[in-house]
Amino acid sequence: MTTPVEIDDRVKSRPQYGPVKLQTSQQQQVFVSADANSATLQQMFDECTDIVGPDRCLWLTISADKATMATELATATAALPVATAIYVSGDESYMWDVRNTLIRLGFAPEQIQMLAPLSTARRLFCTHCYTVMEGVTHTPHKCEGCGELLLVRDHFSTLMGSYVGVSINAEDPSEIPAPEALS
Amino acid sequence: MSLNSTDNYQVKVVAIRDVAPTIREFTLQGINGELTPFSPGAHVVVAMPGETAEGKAKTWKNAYSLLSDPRDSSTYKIAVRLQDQSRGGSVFMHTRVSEGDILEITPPANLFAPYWRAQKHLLIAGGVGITPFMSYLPELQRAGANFELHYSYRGNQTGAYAAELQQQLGDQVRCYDADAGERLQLAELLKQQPRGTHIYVCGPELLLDGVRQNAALLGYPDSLIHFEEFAAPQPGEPFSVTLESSGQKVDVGADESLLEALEASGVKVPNLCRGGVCGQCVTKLVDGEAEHRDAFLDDGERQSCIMPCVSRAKSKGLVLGL
Ligand code: FES
Repeated sequence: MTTPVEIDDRVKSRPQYGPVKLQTSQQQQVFVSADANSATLQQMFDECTDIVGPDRCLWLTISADKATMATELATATAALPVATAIYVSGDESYMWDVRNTLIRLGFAPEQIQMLAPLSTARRLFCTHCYTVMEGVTHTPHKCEGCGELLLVRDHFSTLMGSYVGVSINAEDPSEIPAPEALS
Repeated sequence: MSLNSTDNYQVKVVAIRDVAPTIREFTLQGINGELTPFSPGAHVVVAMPGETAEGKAKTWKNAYSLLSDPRDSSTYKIAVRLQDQSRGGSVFMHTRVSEGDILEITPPANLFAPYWRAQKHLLIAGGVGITPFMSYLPELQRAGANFELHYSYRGNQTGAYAAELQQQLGDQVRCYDADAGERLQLAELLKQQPRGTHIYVCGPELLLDGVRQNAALLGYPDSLIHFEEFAAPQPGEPFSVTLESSGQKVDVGADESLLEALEASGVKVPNLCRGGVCGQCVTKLVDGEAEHRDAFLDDGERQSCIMPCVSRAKSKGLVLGL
């Protein structure tokens, strides 16, 4: 019951993406991306096809638009068995959208694996006006909704697949820090 | 007046019938008020005041699933299988209880509720393990849920309700009588299940293991499989424990559980399932080596904790943080 205490200054809610392993005991293997530009995913697919045969491997190209994604995934996975392993590649926000949609469709979190994000671009959620912005690469970022200059934090909402942004210069709006690239 | 959900209920046994060669069903009615509705999969703990083989007074407490319709608060029903190796509980129910008797039960508690967001519910029952599902079925039907029940038993001993279930549910239930050579093919069954299926299993250890193994082979995610696995505590060697705070010594007989022995000497330990799964009775283990028989603690926790409802001592004595 005693766990050693480790000091870790990373923001706990920021997801970490470890190496993804093929789970070949699962009957059906599914590879999801928005377009075919993930070399790693393609490699995994090829390797998997060699191991379990092409019948048990499925490559899905799924739209990044949330509404389209929901219908596409519902149709594409309707006939899949419970024992399915799913691998997702793409931008971070895309992967979380796919994951959340799949969970709503009845898959368990532990059967969905996400590869390392393909870019450092973040989805950003303005905590002042709730505007959601895509493809944010630098902090601070001017909110496209309320115009507030937002500090892009490392706090991540898994449900929204988004980082949160808070006003960086609420005290003195004339203070404009130099933009830094996000990692 | 209806009874509240924290105090024990006094109930009268209003009907007893045999529902299989070794299974007897009891219908219970509240005597100081109406019983509470419950949720599917709930159980109650029945107190059974009897005596040991040596003639010592002793109260057994066993958990039994409620098998009546959860919305029917006029009566509760439980079914008790006569266990070959019973420590007394099931023998008491089978030989000492008659219609008109008063029993004391706890309010319903639930450790095996259905997962309502599942798109399909696959229920797998073995023998007397059919009981929790008897309360699932009316609710699943009312909700218009997609479900299937697979029920295996030995017709010479168990198989309660098989005929009526088949009549009521038609295709949604499959029965397998092992004594008639019928076998439930777990691997085949699990392989066919569609996305969004949750699996619920209740029955003998052999069935649970079968499901566990086949599910692991197919790569089923653990969170989709729900086990009802409380088992009555098994006997063992006698031992004694010492309470850290008072130095009091409590002897545990071969056929009683540590929890029962503690209760008999006036020590109150919170408990819910009395079968090593709920975690309520967790007690600090200060010294000595335990023989862990629960399904709750992980290996790390086992160094410093014990579940007295099922676990015993490996060493001659234990010191408990009580
Ligand atoms: S009472 Fe539930 S684990 Fe002991």
